[in-house]
Amino acid sequence: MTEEALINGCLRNEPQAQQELYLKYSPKLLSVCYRYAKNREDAEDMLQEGFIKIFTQMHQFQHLGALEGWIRRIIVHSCINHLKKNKKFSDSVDLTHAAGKFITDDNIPSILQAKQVIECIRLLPLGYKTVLNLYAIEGYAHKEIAAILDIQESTSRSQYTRAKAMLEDILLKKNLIVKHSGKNLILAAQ
Amino acid sequence: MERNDYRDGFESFLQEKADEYNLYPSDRVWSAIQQELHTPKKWPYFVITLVFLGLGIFSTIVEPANNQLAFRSPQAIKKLSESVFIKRKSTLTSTTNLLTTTRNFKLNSNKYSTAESIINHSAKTGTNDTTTLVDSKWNTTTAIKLNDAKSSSTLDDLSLIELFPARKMETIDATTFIEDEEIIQSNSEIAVTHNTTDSLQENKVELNKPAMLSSVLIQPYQSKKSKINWQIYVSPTVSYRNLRGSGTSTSSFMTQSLTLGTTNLNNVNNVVNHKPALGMELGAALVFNLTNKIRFKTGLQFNYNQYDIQAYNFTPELAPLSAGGLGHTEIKAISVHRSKNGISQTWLQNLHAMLAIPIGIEYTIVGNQNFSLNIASSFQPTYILKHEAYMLSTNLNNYAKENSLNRNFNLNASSEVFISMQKGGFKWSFGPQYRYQLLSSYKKEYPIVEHLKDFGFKIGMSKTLQ
Repeated sequence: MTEEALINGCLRNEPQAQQELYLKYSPKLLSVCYRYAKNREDAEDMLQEGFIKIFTQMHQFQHLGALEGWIRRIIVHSCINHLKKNKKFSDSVDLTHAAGKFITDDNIPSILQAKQVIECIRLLPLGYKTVLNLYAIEGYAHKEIAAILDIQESTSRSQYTRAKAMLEDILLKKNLIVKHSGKNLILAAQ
Repeated sequence: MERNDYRDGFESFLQEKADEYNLYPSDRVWSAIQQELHTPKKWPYFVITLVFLGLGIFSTIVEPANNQLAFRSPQAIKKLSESVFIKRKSTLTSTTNLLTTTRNFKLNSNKYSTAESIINHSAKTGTNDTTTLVDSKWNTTTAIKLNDAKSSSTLDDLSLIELFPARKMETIDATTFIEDEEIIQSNSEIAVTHNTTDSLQENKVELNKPAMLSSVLIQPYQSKKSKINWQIYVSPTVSYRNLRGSGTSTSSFMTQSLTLGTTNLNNVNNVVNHKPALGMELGAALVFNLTNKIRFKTGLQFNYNQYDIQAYNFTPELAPLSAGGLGHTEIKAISVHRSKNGISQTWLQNLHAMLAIPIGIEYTIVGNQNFSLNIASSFQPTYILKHEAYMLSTNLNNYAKENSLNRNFNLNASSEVFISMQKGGFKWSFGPQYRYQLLSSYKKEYPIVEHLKDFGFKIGMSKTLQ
């Protein structure tokens, strides 16, 4: 089924088209949710909420961009909304200090695995993790992140800087990246 | 997605790894999505069941009353009278040893002895009866002589008892006679002569006003008039709402709008463009007659309210729906609709389905039982069965749905003026009504207050309980 046929089927509320769309995008989108969620169950809840929104709001898709981008945006908003229902979220995202240490050893990295990187991201504090996901992976600007998370743009920037530093530290510890020439981080995969 | 900031190789690395990583959701996710999208909502069935249940109860109650109405037809009455007395006559054969009993029954306009009671009396007091029943209305005369030898214990055998097991020695309101037969005048008297001695007696019943007999014979089985009415009603309505409140922050859109020189755009009513839509009200009620003019009413009522809001389609964005503050997390919902300046115009439909228990009073301003003008008002504790409504974001930019801010219980008040008339065995009522939701549709965390209101035309059908 072509993407156009999928969209039209979903607009007609056809279960077959909906299932095909779900099967096509759910693995990738669950991994998106997983990066924001506390655990796998929360990620599946986020995915469920997001897909219901996608199917019920499909008529709003304007064909101005790729369907995947539109779907992914809704899923990310669902994740943030899910997190916002947790009272601790706003505290976490406003956290301005985090104890991150850079590891200085020059271990040879093992073969990089996507799963390991994702798990490293998930080790970050909630606020750091969220900002890092939105900025580094989803590609939102700090101004947009500030609006989404109800924080200052400067807070988003500082959160990201700290998150990035902490993640680099973790990746170094896990031998997923190496230090080059004393200060530059070189990706092991490169 | 736009990228306004510089991203180095680290971000590209993370993005690449994130894209490589796939997770497969468990079956429960798709099942839950399917269920949400394709399982019919239960509340319409609940309401339909409720309505049919109410109609079933109503018709069950009305059924015996209808039978009684049929029973009052001249043919039916005549047939009944004959069958009763023929049977009695067949069981009592001889006419010896008469005992004369004379007793006067004075039946005034308030209480009338029934034919049944007369016959009961005859059977109890005498062993031989001669009962003359004259019915001038149908020109029938039945004379019965009761035999001493076999009638002393025959009362239980009488078909009267079989026919009307629940009614023995009853009295009836005169108003019932007047209403049903229009024969008896107020203060009319019926003298029933019933002479009694210690010896054998002749029991002779004479009616001074024979025309009364038909009523006497017909009405013994009419119970005392109930003070409770059953009522079912339906009311097509025009649904709308009142909005109150203002935006909590000034967004870029608001700033833009304000610079255009428009007046106080922070007032929600200056931003919202909405229009009424058709709703309805459906219910069943019990009406208790407190006095001739005042009635107490309660029951179960289903309300359906909807209205339309003008909006504009837009790409997904977060819409703030609560102010947050100390101890509260600000609630945001994903919105694909803007209140202004979107991609294309659309109309959103907000709908509310409610189940209410109206508790009210009816008052008859003028009129009688056949035709009257009434007013009524009620107070309605309400449970919201379905609340599918787009809420205006607190920055007044977007429309979004957020169920956690909906109020599940509410209070409504209703007032109406109606004409009531008796026709076809039912009392019909119709007239305009107005219902107003006293509490906001949303919880206090949402700064915008919404009161639903409905203008309708009610049509009701009621029947007195037996």
